[in-house]
Amino acid sequence: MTEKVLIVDNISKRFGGLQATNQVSFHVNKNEILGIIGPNGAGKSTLFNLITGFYFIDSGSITYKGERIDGLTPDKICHKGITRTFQVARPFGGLSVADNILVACLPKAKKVSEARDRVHDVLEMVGLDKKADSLGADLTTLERKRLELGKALATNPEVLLLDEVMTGLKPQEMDEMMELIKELRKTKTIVVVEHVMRVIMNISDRIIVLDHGQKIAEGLPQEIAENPIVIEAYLGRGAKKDA
Amino acid sequence: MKPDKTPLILGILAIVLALVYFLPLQIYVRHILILTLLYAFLGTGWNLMCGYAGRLSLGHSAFVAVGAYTTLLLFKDFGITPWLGMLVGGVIAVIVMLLIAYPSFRFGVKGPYFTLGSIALAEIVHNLLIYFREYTGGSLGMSLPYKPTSLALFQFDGKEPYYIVILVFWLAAVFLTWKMERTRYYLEAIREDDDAAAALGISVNRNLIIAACISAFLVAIGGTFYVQYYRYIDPYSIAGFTLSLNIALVVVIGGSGTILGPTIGSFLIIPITEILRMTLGASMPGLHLFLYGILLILCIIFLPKGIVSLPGVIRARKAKKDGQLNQGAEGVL
Repeated sequence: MTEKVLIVDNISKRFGGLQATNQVSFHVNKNEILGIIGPNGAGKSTLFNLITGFYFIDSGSITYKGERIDGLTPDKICHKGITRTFQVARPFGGLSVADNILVACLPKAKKVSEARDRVHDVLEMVGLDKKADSLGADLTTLERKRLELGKALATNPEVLLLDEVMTGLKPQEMDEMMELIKELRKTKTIVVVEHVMRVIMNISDRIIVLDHGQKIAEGLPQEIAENPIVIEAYLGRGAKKDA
Repeated sequence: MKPDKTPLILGILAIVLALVYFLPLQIYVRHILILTLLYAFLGTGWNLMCGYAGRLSLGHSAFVAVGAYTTLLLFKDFGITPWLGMLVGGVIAVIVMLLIAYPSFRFGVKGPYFTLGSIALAEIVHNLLIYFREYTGGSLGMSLPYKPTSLALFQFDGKEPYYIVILVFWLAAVFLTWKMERTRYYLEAIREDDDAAAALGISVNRNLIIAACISAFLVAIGGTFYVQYYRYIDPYSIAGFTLSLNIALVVVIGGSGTILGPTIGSFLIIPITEILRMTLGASMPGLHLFLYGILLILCIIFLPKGIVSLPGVIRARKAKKDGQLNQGAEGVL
């Protein structure tokens, strides 16, 4: 039986008059890639913010390896083994690329020297070893995305939450990134929020679909692609008839 | 990765400054050196919270005042040695800091709002010192009761012992900053983006509070030194905005968020200010402030990251020049 690493049970979040997340439930199995899709404003990033403690849930529960993690602060959740990336990459602009990675290695390292030893490997993994001395602020969009992923990997997570790591990348760069994610799945559990259908259909084992804060579908990539409710959410009512 | 040269530079600096002790210097020169080291020490304390963590305070004179008044009152009224008073003052400064820092950090107050809060804090301390005049002497201030030279009572007749004391304080503060390598990295990450730092497992509030408390403690110790050295304090000079601003300027000009920036800034600014005041103060009063302002403007335009960044800026200029030369050569070929 596959182990359910992360269980999200019936969680809701309201911002004033907006129900951003409405009774959403799903689980993530160990070493799988779960894709989350949905139109703009469907609540995908909010979901990540809720899981990683940036927002607190109004109701429901989030369980990681049998332990409730809702109510913990982001840094504690990271220490438990869940790390997220941000949709808009957030490098530490005033620090060098190497120091960005070093900072990410530090919280789980016993000594600073131990963290320092890992920096080069992480930089190599995300292809930034030649940029080690550049400032975070001076990176291109692609390099920022790579650094964002590198920082998340440096924390050595068991569960990696990737928020639109492909946005802004060229097709060839996407292929490289997909290879990297497929490589990572051998040791990690991954949840991906993505807009690029080619990517999400290619790498996900299962997909859940959000719309207006609610989960409207869940299944294998093929099932999702053919699901009429999903097509309607994306293309609007009547889309199927026209097609 | 480049080897860390800080301990080497710090060691050389400390030895040179220790040797200066044996030079037959004029009293006034010695006074400038003591003042310079005092500002280097205060700046190093300020730098932890305001330089590394980027929570800019323009109210650190509040902690200088807490340190100074606590030490003096304990000595005057209870005969407690200033060495102990210094520690008590440090602890009280930490408590005062927590009163403002904990709510600020907890609710994410930063940027100009935090700075305004810090100014308000200093203003409150300033006014309280005037209000409780039965204890503090009010606006008239208070003098330290004279005792003949005594190490136990932290009072000396000459300037030489004070020089040694402040040299040791300064060295300890810089060494402490250097040793806090992990915290320094965390604070820098928090300064750049606190959410991104939290996502990587860094406890933002905890690290900010550690930095704030150490900062307040060190600066309060500076206050104790101030009262023992000057033997007189009043709310305006010790809890006023000028002192807060001077501490901040010394660090910003030297290079905030660097280990030796505050020291370098202090060694440039304080002697220049003092010399200008001495040479021009009588004939053209106020001119020294004018020149001081020009220096500050030049620094902000050409070295926004402080004097510490000078070697890097020169290197970058040179690299750019070489690059242009090479490009020119390619064009010819």
